[in-house]
Amino acid sequence: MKLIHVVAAAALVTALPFALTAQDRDRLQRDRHQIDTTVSIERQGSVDLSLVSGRIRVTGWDRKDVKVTASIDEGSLKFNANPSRVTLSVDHRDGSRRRHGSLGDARFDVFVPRGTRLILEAVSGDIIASGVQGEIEAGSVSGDVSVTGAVRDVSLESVSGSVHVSQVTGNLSAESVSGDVRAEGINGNVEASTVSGTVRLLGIQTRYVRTESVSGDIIYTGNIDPAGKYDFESHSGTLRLNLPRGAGAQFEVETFSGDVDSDFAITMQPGERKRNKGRFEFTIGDGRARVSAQTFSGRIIINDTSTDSPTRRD
Amino acid sequence: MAAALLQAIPVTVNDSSDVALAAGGDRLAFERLYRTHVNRVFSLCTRMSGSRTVGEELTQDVFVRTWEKLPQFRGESAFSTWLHRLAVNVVLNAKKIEGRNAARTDEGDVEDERRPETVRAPMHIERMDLAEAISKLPPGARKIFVLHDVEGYRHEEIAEMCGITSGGSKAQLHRARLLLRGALER
Amino acid sequence: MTENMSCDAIDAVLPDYLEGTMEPVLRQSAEAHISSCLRCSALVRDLGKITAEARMLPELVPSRDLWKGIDARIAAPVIPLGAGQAAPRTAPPRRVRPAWMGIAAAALMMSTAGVTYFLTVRTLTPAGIASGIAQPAPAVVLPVAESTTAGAVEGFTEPRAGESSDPRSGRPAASDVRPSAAGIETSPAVRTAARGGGVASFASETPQVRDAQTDVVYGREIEMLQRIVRSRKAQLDSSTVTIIERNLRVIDAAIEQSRAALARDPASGSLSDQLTRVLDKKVELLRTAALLPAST
Repeated sequence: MKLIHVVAAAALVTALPFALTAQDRDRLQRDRHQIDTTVSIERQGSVDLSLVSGRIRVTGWDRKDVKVTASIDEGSLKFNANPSRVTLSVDHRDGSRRRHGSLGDARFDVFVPRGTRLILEAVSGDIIASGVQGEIEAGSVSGDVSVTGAVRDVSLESVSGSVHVSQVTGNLSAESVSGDVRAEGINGNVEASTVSGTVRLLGIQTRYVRTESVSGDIIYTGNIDPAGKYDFESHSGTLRLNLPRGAGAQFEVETFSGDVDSDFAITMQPGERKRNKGRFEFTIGDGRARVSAQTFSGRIIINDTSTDSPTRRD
Repeated sequence: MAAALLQAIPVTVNDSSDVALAAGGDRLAFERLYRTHVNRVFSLCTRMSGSRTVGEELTQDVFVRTWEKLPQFRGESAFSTWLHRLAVNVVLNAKKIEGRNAARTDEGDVEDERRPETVRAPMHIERMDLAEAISKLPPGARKIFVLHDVEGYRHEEIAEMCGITSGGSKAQLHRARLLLRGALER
Repeated sequence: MTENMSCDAIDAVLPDYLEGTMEPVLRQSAEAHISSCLRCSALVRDLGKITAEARMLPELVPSRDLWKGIDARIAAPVIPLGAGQAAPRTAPPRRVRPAWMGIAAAALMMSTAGVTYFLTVRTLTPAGIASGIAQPAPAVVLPVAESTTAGAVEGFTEPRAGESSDPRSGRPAASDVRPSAAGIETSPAVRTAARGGGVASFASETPQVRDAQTDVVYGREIEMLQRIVRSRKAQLDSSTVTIIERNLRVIDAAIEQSRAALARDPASGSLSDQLTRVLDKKVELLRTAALLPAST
């Protein structure tokens, strides 16, 4: 399409945002097993995809359109598009209003302009998003969630599946109940939590980390910014903090019955020993950042990555 | 009929003394406030959510939240204004929670066979056509329409409450009106 | 200079026209078109009517009295602190909002027929504490189902009929529920820890009082959530249910450990915080389970 035609078409679209043509109405009511269509979308529009089982895959591209290729074995697809929002979901309805039992696997393959905001949901389906460079909110119950390349606010969760995320410039919230949470290359605030899965935070550049687990282990390998605040909590899981060379922080380490292994000297301040036997405060470097590591019975391991520590393990 | 009983209970005209009492923990005073304002809150919750059943649950949520937040009410606006705002927030937040977890089917469908509709109150003759059409609007358009055309909020206020721009609010309102017009024509 | 606007152009400016926020020249030209165009005048008229009707919609009335449900949820333990002080409201625990009783969860509760909730509260009398007599901590008698045959209360010990909740009776509340071996457990929601020794000071909220209040609020929330989750089990994917149950057991173990530690060191603020955190986790997980989409 010639550029001038694209511009004219865009102008027409923006001039008539709300005239519902017969074609629009028709599009709104389509029930299908298969969709293969391309629609235009405004900058920073949003795409909202949800299915029960199967897989959602979204990829960012340089075009200004959203391309949707989707199919479902049983049940129908519901597709809706307007200039600011594209929605695709699944429905059991084939005339008869029955419950979800008759829904088959669905596969969504969607290309979106970079910067698009994504809302992705699945029950037992996996979710994969890459290169979208927009905000993402994604959740699955038993499927895995995997995101690469996002900005601003990213919020991911799964119940039994894993959550893997990398290359985010923005704030991340990642949660799983029993699955592992792995976040890499995040430049922004990080909140991660799990009950029994493992939390691995690698290559994090941030001033704020808050991560907690009940029985799962937590491993942090990232920067310690002088103005930062880093909170690590687990009930019985192991906290492993791998700190960079030259880090400066004031540490508050507390455990009820866990062991504390530190490459750094731990000194008890006079008068610091309160009711809780397992509480230590110490400072490394310039002591500007604040790090808090707390467990009930879990082990706390603080590694200085500039030495070869026998307990170090990523 | 429960509805008839509700009508019979005397309600105070001036809220402020009851507000002060309720903020201090007086549940009877709070019940009086409830009786005064429940219908308005219920109307808002039902219309924004598109379902009477859901409206009833949300109404309860609103009043529970009001009870908790009452000590923070400083009387800078009328109590009813404050209560109304709180109700809007509860409804908007409830929809967020539901939306994130439900495997959604049709965006415009508010009928869900898991939640049978309760019988409509026989005492009121509603403009069935418009009210029904409103309940069938897609959720986003519906809530903006209710907030603006039914409840009288301005676009700036709606934008602030819903986390959108006032331009976006105008656009959604217009879309809602057009959809309603289309629905009412049939 | 008014030029003739087209119908398409009217469509584009309609929102502003109806709002009355058009600048006068443009508005004039819009009106010129509208007054002479059947399609546009019908559109403007219809939209205006919709707005006017919407404004006139009557107030709706709930089909039943909602007050009882509200009253049950706001009922707070009453702890007299001494003459002249108002009863403190129960502080909502961190991150647990009653608004979690979202639509799905609440609707499911409604479908469990005949469930009545009542909360009975025992007061912690200053006299009792001051004299060092072990009094039952503020306790909540948990929601009692009218129809207990529904099996919705597995693993949960209910107070026997006739057992009074008279604060002066000194009888322990339904306490220390035995966790069920399989399935989603009931956590002990009622604390009857006799806090040996220390005379609580009522000048400010003591850790004991705060913990007791916390237990009350969490206990109620957890029990309500568990009911919902139990009633939904059949709809949920079984492997997900297994995972959730397993993780609930992990959390329950953590709760027990924290409780035990706190019982040995009741004045410990940090242990109290730890307990609150794991209780939060339990509520969060139950809430997640309660709101899971049905997969069958």
